[in-house]
Amino acid sequence: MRNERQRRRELEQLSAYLDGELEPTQRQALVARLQVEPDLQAQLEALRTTKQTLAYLPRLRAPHNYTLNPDMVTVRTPKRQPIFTSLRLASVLATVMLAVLFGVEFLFARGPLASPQFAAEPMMEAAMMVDEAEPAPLILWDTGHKGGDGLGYGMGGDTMLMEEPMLVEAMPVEVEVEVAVEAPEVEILTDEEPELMLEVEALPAPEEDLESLAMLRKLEDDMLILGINLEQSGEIISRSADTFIDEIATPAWQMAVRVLQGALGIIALGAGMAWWLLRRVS
Amino acid sequence: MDEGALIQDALDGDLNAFNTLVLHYQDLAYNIAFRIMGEHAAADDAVQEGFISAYRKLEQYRGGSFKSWLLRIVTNNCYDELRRRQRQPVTPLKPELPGGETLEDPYWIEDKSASPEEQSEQAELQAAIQRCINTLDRKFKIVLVLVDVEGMDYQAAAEVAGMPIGTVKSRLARARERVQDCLQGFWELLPEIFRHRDEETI
Repeated sequence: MRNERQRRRELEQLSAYLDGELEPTQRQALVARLQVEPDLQAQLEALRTTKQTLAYLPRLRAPHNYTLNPDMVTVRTPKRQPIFTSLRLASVLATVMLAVLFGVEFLFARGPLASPQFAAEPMMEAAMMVDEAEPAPLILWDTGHKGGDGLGYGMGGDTMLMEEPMLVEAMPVEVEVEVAVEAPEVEILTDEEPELMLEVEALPAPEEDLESLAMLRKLEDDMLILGINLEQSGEIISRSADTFIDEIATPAWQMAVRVLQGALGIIALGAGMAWWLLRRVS
Repeated sequence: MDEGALIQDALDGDLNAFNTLVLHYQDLAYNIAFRIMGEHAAADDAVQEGFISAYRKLEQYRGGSFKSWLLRIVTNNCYDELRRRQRQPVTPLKPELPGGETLEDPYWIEDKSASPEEQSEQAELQAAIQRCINTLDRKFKIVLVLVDVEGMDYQAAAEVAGMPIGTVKSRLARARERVQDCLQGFWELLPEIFRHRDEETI
């Protein structure tokens, strides 16, 4: 074992000596041994022959050029495709943000975190506000004189404009109750009720018809009247009223949130579709 | 050739600058790869992959000898391929000579001045040497090729092989010894000058 280790050490020294890589002190010691040890000298010559034989191998030239081209580099590189990644990321982020916005809107507009100002149903509240803010509904009704069908407005001369006809109709009822309780003489008045009603209905003068017509036309110009709902006491339906309702029903922050939701929805869908299509094409 | 400037240009995305380096080192890289792998196709792949890897890893180059850094990548590719073959031995489709070389290998027609008979003897000797190299374990092979075939000193070989100089020294000695034993079987192929010398020593 010791001889094998010594033999290997001698072999290393001889090999390094051939290459000129031996330390000066080791070199001097080896040269001294080589002069007196023929076996060691023979071993050195065998190694030298081997080294020279190996050096006999010719230097080969490359069979072709190994220069790189962009295709080789890009094809072999698992290149990340930023467009795909960006589209997918945009779609996912937009979807997440959309969900968060829906949640926030729900919490602050209708959920437990809703402020008293917006706790009630927005449309109901809007309707209440409209009731308070909007002037009394306008109706058109037939006065019964000067002929005509009595339902037209604007162009005919037989229509008149009045406010709150229900109040006018209720007044005789109140009178009737009072009369029935307090004094029998009033019963005579009760008998004359139709005449009173006729008088009340006949109150507007023909001159006032023209004035009402002018007001109606002015109202048409201002409020963009779309029509009259005959089933609901002749309420005038106008575009300006709808707009007014919307403005009151939706606070500014909710409008902003909805715009943002729409934008995010478009981004989520658009980016997702684009990513899917590009992936299919490629 | 301003190697530093070319490397910097390559780092900036100039592929032509890197290709200038490739052209400068491709013969050396191929020769080492061929001597380690023992066949053209494997050496070709190792060198091509080595240059591509070098281009991709150029940011990791931290100065020093670019030649050593590049050749280390190539030799590592050779090592990986040899290790893979050791696990999954392959049989070449093309008929090979005893040295593991094919008739299409370029060095068969290296010495055009020699006669056909001399060329044949040279080819046989080279094939014998290569066969002896092929018998070595891969950890001895690389050191032998770098020092005795390429003529590198121990420091350069240590940088390329990624091992201490002491390891290079010991492995080289053992590799030479094994090749020496192997070459005994091809004694008649050795050049006359070596035969006479060895006959005298023996």
